[in-house]
Amino acid sequence: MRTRFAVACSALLAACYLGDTTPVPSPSVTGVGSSPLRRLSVRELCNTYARLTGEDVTADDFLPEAVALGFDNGPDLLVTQTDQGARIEAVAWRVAQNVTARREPKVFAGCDGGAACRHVLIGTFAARAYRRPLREGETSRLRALWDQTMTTASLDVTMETVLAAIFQSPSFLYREEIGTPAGDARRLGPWEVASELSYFVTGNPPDDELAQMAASGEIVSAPARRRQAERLLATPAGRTQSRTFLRQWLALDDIATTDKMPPLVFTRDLARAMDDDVNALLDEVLSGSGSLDQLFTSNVAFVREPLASVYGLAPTKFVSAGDGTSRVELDPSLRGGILTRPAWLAVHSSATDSGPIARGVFVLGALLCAPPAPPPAGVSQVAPSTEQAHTTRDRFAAHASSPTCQSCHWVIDGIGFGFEQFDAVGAWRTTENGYPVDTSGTLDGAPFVGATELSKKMLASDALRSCFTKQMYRFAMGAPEDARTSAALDVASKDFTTRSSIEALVVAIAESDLFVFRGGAP
Amino acid sequence: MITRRHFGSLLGGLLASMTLARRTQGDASPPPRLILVMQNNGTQQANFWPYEGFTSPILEPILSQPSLASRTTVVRGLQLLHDRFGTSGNDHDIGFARLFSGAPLISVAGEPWGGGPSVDQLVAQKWDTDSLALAVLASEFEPHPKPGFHNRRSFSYLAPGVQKIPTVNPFDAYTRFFATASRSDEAAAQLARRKSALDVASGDLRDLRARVGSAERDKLDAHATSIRQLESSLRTLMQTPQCKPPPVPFDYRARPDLLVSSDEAIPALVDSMVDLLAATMGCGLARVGSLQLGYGGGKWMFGWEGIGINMHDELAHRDTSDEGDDPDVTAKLVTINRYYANVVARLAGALAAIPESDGSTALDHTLIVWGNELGRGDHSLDNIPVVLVGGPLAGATSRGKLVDGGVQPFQRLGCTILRSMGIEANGFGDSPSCGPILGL
Repeated sequence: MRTRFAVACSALLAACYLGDTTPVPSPSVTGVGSSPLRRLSVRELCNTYARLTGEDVTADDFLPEAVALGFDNGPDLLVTQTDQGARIEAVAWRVAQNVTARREPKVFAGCDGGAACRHVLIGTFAARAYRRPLREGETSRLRALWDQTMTTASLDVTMETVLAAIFQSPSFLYREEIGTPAGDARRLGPWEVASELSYFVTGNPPDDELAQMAASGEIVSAPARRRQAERLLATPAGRTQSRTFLRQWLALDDIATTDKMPPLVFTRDLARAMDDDVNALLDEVLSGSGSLDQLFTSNVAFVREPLASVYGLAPTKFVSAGDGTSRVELDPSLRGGILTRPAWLAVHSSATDSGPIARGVFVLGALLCAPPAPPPAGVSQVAPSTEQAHTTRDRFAAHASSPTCQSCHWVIDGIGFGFEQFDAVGAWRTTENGYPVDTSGTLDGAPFVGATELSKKMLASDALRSCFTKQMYRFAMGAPEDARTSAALDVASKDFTTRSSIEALVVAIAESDLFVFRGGAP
Repeated sequence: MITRRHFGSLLGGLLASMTLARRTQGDASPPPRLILVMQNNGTQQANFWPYEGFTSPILEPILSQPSLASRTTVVRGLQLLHDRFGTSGNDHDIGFARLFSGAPLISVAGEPWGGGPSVDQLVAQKWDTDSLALAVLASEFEPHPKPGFHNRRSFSYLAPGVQKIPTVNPFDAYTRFFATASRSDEAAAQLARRKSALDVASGDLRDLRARVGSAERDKLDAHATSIRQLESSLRTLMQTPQCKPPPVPFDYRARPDLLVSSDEAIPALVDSMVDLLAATMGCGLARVGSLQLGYGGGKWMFGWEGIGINMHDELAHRDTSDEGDDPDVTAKLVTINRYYANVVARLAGALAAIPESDGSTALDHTLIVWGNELGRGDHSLDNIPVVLVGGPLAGATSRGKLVDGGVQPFQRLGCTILRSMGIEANGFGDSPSCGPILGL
């Protein structure tokens, strides 16, 4: 029975390859840098458990893993260490025991007696967990484990053990994007494409519809990928994933660990209010035009009590909704866009001051993809003391007088000083230590005043749009772009502008050849 | 459900390995063990080095105890160079990633990372065992993780650019090593089932490995190593430890802020980590350990020592000569560095209290190496303070002394550690023939 299932699936796979007439790609898209094996990141693993079993597994259950290129899903750094293996094992057993004890329908539907349950777990559930039909060795190892465990243990314990083995298998833990040779490149198969698409667009394993399209082979065609990407983007998981991408790109997750020194007032409650504010803003943007234009100009804020004072709103100025949060339109001359939100400003500043260097470096690197060179050897990177300077800007004026520092800091400070109207917690200020703040800056040699004008200038430049497409690519593929992929990415993103929906770019990447071809040998 | 006979056949393999392990331990002297303790921000030089009578204000917590002093060697003269190898690293990054890894820094996504495996991981790899890497990373002044400083989260490296990720919640380490230690048949059967499930994962890994290229094989091999080492831990857990488990540590899941944005729990965290290291090493549950005290270039405030200002900016950077510049800064740095000495003394004392089968103590077979990312807080990389407590120490003619024979390349420390652990080495890191520390 199960053997036939496996044969039928291989036949489908073969048919799909034979039937596919997509031309072998030009060399410009071969050599795409994504790894053929990407271990699920901790976030993806938690999502996968929830989708498959309904179990609540959280990031705290695992060791934190390194963030590469600003995103949590870069494959190179997701090397499974023994400590992490121990966490993976502990979670696997915990979930296995919990779902067995309650006979979780997502796992056990159809399990009504030993033989049926063996078939449900090894025939059906394991294929969902591995996101493809099982290979022969996988099936035989799980069956042997079942049989061996049944000789000494109860049915429940046997089911737990088999589930724990499934959750520790590399077939569960790794996304396979190996493909088969196609010219001098490799073309991903339908199950691989379905999994890749699902994790890219939703951060979750494929749902039933996607699995069906993988089984039929349809998913490999570009129009099918487009339709599925569009469908998935509209699901709650798709929306969450878009938000996750924007949060990681802007490093907003760091608000959870941001803290400030007295006399600055920064409580965990305030940090949460800031976090909720940007989340609501991101959701409003994504469900509105979804454009960079809106993201970088919106003057809408979602304010509850501790945040009101940071925004300079008197309690009477806004009416609390049920949960204490109000949607407020801020004075557009003071604040417009994500870069003027307390969450972004508080993350990108120091514990004691506004941190113009941190802000400038982040804008250059993450938003414009032009990270400044590191400071030269032997230069102290300690912020100058405040004793002889009136304002934060004055303290860093030394950069301009030193020829060593000048060349880079002219660019970094030119951007960072533009944020000086916001202090370390993101509160508006016109003076610092009794002296007026100077918010004039330069972007790419052109003068501007204040963060709202900076945001508009970036929108008008090509750099933000082009950098955003690169960042989306890195998030999608878990790898940096190189010269060859950059060219292909330019093609994929040719219609993307700051007025386009961000999600249109998700679709364009999913639809592009980049998404389904890999270069060279696996 | 489980009969004794079934139980026996299930565990046949496990029991055989246990017997072997016991016999090995019984016949020879207890196996060597290694613990690295990593401190940041340098020391107060004039108050660190022992003088006549083998004591100093900073090292007094260790050297005032004859049983520890007689097993201690202090090494002066180890020097790092200010070479950033084209990365954005500064001297903190150099000392932090390089002291124990030896390799030049490399750039990972623009950040300065260690360029090779650290000596603790080399030893662990040689012994095919996992290391117990612990760290206290909380910081009120500068909560982490913050962008651009991921490289300072761990000094310990598995491979170039691949950090050994430390455990920061002591309860997690406790759960892994002590919560499942039980003699009951059911517990033993569960251990056997855990091993069977891991065997399935191993088989799937082997098949997958055959389908991918060499870069991916390295990744899968790391995963396979983790499975093999977990299986090996299961075997060790089958042997009921001779020594007491440590007190059950607080589970900081209930107060995650204490692991991130507060200095409040640092002393309690450090104490829990020390207890865990001593117990796992003493019980033979781990043979390689590390304790990292703060991020590289960390900014602890030492409120619990009555200081309350950020050590890095306000104190270490203002210590610009060995003698010290400002008496108030010097006094505070002595207090801070004595705290670290107390941590090492506590660890050594706990190991000295654990008896071994041959009448010696765990400290006689556990080399504690207390290192520092800088020599002095103003980014000097000369005279890196290094203290070696316990044994074995390869090449040592005697203990209870200061080695002070002039400048020596820091790579000799790694070479000495490898040799002490019974691993052949003529050098270390990017200095493959530097030899061991001279004058031991």
